[in-house]
Amino acid sequence: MIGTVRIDFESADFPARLREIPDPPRQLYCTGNVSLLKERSIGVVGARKNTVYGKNVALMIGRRLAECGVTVTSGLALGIDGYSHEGALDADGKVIGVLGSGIDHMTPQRNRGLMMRGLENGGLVVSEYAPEEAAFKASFPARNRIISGLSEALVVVEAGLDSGSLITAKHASDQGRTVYAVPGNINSQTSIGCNLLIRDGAVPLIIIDDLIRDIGAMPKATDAVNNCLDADEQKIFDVVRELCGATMEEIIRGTGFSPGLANSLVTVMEIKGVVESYAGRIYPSR
Amino acid sequence: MYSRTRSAVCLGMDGRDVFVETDITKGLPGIGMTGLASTMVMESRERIKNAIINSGYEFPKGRIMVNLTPASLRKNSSCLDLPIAVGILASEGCIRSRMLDKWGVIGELALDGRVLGVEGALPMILHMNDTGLKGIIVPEANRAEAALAGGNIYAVTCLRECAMLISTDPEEVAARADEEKLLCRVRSVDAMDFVDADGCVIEDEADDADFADIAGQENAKRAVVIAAAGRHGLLMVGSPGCGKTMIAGRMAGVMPAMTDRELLETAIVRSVAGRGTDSIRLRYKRPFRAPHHTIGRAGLVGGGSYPVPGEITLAHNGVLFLDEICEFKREVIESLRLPLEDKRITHFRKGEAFIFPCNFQLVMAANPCPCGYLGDPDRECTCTQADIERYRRKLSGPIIDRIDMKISMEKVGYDELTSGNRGMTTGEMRKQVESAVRFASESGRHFFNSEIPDHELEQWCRLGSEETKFMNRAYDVFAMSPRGCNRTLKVARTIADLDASKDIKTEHLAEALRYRMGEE
Repeated sequence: MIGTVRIDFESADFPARLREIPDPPRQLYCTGNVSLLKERSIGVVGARKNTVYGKNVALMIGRRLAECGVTVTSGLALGIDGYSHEGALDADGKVIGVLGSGIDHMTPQRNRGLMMRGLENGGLVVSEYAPEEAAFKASFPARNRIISGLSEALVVVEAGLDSGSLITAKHASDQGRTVYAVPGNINSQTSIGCNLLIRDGAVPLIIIDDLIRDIGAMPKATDAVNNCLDADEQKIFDVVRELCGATMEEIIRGTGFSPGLANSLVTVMEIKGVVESYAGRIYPSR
Repeated sequence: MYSRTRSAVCLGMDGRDVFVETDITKGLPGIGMTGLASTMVMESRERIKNAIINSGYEFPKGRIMVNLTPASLRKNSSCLDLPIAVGILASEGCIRSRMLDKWGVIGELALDGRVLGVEGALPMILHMNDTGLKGIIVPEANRAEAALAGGNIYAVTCLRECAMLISTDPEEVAARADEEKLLCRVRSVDAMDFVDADGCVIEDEADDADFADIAGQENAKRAVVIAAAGRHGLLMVGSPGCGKTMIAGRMAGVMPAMTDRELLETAIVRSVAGRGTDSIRLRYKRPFRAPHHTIGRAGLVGGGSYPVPGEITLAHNGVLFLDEICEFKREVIESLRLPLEDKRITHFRKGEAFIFPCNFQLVMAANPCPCGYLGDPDRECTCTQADIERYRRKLSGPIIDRIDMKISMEKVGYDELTSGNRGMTTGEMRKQVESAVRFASESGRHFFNSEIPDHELEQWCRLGSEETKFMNRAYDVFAMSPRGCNRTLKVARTIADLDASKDIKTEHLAEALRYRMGEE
């Protein structure tokens, strides 16, 4: 087992965001990459019984946040919680799992593999409870305040009427975090909780990048995109930027690449989101 | 006296046997005709009478009966003039009828006795060769087509020549073919007629349109190479005057040289369309057809009560270019669906199926908007947003299914136009295409990549794990449809062929994705 460290409320290492919530835990038992507590993080929670829609959205959010260097915090429960982490890990991102028990009694066991995967990938598992402590009835709702407390914003992906995610959302709003809810069909029992949150003032999550922009993480993301260009792609990007939108012919002439190579590189850059094409011309994105 | 002359008619693209029975009996003078003859054939009675008299023969006094068998076959060709006249002369005894069964005769008659050319001579000659006729008599005007068919063929200019020839044994004539005196001015048709002094087959030397004429546009040329190598439907979008038509007009030159089979098919189509004299001149050139957008359905796919080939058949083994695609009527575009899948079109008329081949390279061009200047850096687009939307919908509907590749073009700047930088020539491009086609057939694909059936995609377009991941990503980012995804795979396969690569690599997929439809 990886070593667990205890961080007390009084310690300077205790995360500042968690310190300011109305009912902070007295101590945190952390396993893994403790430095994540200081990084930008967004909580993603939702129903254990999810639909395909919820699964896809959770994967998408996890992936996109990871790409933009934002840590995904969740409860490691089945369903949406798990998928958000899976998405983040697929994109090589960092995750924080918040447990409702000591790490030795991690539940559900089915997600232990996912937890280990997160830890191996430089992630972190935190809990209010010492490793050997077992879960009890109130411990799960209680850990929800830590999920929202560690996050700058909270996303509820799918939630029924009696979902624990709604408790997390309530904690989040009490703690002054922005609550996002993923809208669903109004006749969908699995989305009614989310839709009610929206009615009551939560921000509907329509475009995932809004999340990242709202916590001010976008500049870092574009840096990452620029860094991902290799020398040839950079040459194309320079031509496109210089002309404020170039035709393929101009790119071919400007770089001296063969039409085949130039086209192939432009697609890769489109996928990376660095450029986009409209009416036959290639433009720098944003 | 009864006689029987052998001839043929052309039905669709095929020659069919026709036997002309002639009998002269006592009775009121005149010609009766049976055997499902069309008005065109019925009229031959008048032509034949004058032609016979003007050729110096006496017209029979009695009642002439002409029967065209098989009776069930509808006959609609002036090519029966000559065999009917021969039959009448044979029945009258002006011609020795002993050898009549060994000859096949086709040709139209003028009133003065001259023999005129007919449409569809080549398939008729090929058919008569197949049925084992020892000698075939064709109009001089059809000499060029006849040369392609080969066999023991004689071209005649008038009824008299035909009458003299047909009294002899064709096998004997063949043996003494060099004794031209015997045959009057009749010369046997020989493919060597069309070989010039240096022994080279005469080609159309006027054909100097080359891709080297097109400055800049290297991106479009690359797309042309890919489209030709995989026979992918290509759509060019760009403002007027950017070179779309120039490119399409040169595309046939980039396609691989025609096989013997293709050469023959193309010549047959030209023959049926009445352009038989082009058969030799343009023999090695793939056809290029660019019908105007006002064309109707029948003009495009063929039709008529005796069906004639439409533009898609005339473009067989060549390029069909539809310029201003959005201006075509919707049902005209719709009518392309079946022929594009089947590579042939069948017309049913009165119990008879007429099948025309139509295996062509499809190229379309469109303006980006009704006025043509959307996105043009120099001119302002005058269309309203609603105009553009309507236009786009037209472009996406029935057309999108027929296109594997789309490229955007813009007109070339003056400096590039005058830089003297010519880029790829047609010859270089064709070499690339030919090597890609060869690579494909060496890999076991003996069809074009655009023809890969969906259920065989897995077999021919298998992706590695890296490539699958990339494609997955692209699928999400570009919001692609499964159909669009299949298209991209096929185009990527062709790009890999051009690269002589057994596997489809990421760069091939990436390039193929640039040609996808439905961005914007």
